[in-house]
Amino acid sequence: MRGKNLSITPLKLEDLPGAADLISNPGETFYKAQLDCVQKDLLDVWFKNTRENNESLYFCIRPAELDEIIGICQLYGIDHEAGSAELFISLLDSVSQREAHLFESAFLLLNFAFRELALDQVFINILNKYQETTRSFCEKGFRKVDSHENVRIDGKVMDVIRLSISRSDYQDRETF
Amino acid sequence: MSIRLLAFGDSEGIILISQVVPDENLIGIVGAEIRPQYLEQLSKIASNLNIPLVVQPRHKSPEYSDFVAQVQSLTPDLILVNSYSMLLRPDILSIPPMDAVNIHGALLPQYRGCNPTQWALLNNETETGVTMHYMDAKFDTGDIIAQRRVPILFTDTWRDIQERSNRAIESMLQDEMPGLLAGTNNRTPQDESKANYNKRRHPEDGKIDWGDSVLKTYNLIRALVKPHPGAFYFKRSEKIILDEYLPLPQVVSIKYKKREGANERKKSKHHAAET
Repeated sequence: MRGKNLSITPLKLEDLPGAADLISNPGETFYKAQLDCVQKDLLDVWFKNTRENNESLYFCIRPAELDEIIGICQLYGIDHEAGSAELFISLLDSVSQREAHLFESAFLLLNFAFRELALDQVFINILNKYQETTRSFCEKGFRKVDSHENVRIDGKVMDVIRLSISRSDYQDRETF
Repeated sequence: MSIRLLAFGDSEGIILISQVVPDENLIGIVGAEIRPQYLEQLSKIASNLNIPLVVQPRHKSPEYSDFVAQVQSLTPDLILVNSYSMLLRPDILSIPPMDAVNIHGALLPQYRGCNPTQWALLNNETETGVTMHYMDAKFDTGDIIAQRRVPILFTDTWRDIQERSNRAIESMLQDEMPGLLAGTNNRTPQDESKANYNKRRHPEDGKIDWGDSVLKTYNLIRALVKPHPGAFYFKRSEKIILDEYLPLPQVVSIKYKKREGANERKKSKHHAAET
């Protein structure tokens, strides 16, 4: 799946060396990740399990025309009966144009969720301290669905905002 | 007087009937000539029950009139059909005074016609069911006697659904058979405004169109696993058959690997043209 500056492709076995750090230790991101911390020596086993799991799909993020992995993104908690999923994106800290890449990755992943899986609604969770990011997502069609929620991440209690976008809101916008 | 019941079906369908219908009521079994793979087992079942097995030939066959005569000579009061693949024409349907009853693998009036489980999967349904209904001149249009709902899980193949449906049929037969044999069962006309009909699927319908969504391809694969012929695609001239269940991430991988391959080929052609 290609955007203007990025492409996202399903995670492959040969991607694991380049994606290992992002998978094993996503660190603090904009999002409350489904912190799926994986030991590096167990990545092969972890990958095999992901291939059997209908509730989670991983993708590598690359600059268009380049092979270097600059992030991973994921649809997780896919509930096919309810037609919903959660979205997660992790980009390397060193990535320039981080904010632009964040939204382009989200756009590509939402395209996939709504067109390929026929989902009706996608949720994201954003740490409350990233208010600018939350505002940007809301400008792009996301809506706040919950009041603040305190979650424990790496032993710290963090304030998280939950947002969602429906298929119809997404289609109405056409661009992201 | 004991009701004389003649059962039509494949081996799986007849086994279900024979588990529920009292031996003294079951007077014979009919198998379909067009499904010869079931005839040996049907013959064993008939032999064990000490009742005749009759094979229905094609309507145009010279033996068809003999078949009608054989059914007439058995003097059935009631015909019960489960998992059967040939049409019962008026010359057969008119024989039993208590009519003919069919068990259909869907919640009629929806999914009339062939391959209802496959069509339900292809349409991404989360529920199907089984219906016991009277037979008339058209396919699956007669009055409904009873129904049972059957859930469809996201990881189900058609085999899983069939297994669940068979359990539902068993329970429905147990509940309904006394009323059916006594002629006291329910009889509700179908609501034609909610009816739909599906055509018979053929092996070539299993060809994957990679322009379709991942979900549609995933559903096609699980609708056609063994012993059905499987979904398939061509990799250059090689036919790749997907006749076992594939989890969603693997369907995504195959689709996007094909796309990447196509992009690479485009790039290398472009590069060759430039040089």
